[in-house]
Amino acid sequence: MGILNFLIFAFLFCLILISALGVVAARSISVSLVCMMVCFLGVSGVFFSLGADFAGASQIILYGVSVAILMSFAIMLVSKKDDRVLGVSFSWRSLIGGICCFGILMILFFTMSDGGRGLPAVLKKSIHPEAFSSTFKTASELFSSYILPFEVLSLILLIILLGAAVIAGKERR
Amino acid sequence: MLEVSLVHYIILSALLFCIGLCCVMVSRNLLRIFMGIELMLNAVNINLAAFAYFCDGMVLGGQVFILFVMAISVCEMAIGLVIVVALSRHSENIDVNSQDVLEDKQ
Repeated sequence: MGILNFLIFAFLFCLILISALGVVAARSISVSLVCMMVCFLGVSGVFFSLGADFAGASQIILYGVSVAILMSFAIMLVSKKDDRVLGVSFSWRSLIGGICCFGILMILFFTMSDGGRGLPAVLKKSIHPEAFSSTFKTASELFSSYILPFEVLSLILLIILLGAAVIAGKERR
Repeated sequence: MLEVSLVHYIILSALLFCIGLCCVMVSRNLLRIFMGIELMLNAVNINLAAFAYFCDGMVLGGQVFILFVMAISVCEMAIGLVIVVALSRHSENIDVNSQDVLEDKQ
């Protein structure tokens, strides 16, 4: 059972990281959109393997489908023929960006290993075997402890809807 | 060693976050910068799910906050793409280096 868990995790790990690198490195923006979709589906697989059923399903619906459709419409509306020159090229910008990202990665790893003293015990916990479905518990948490953020979120969605309509429809003279 | 533990998920999340950050810092295309932001938010969500699973299996605050982060990031995506489309009407391309309409030209 542990081997199977590990194989699934290794598959998702490679899928997510390779497709994320594809987002950065692809010449054409459409290819990087497809890579982004694959990456989101891999992340939803991680959610399912962590027992977060509802989050995984929302990840597929929200990111894997609707964000991808939104993004593809934006690409169709905005892109020009010469957008390929905007891909990653060797320049000072790329060099400095890469060095900063690598530095932040090293800081994260250093922090993770408790300042070089080895992994803390909490990070070595492995998956407990009984898988549980968490949708019911998530819903009862959401509508009891977190009811105020939930309502504020609906207000934010309304404001975003109105704001997007106002900004997008302003071209009338 | 062939046992998936919390540190594996955190390593995955850190790598994904740094790739997203690299995408934001390196790219000149506005749409690709948005893709990088989404990758970074997904890395954060993986962390939330992993800690909710391994540390408090009964409370599930992490899974609730995944939903909040998702909703906010989709809102941010919608507004951002609308701004990109509105920007592309005024200028001829979406290169971030050439967007200088707000620059103070004396």
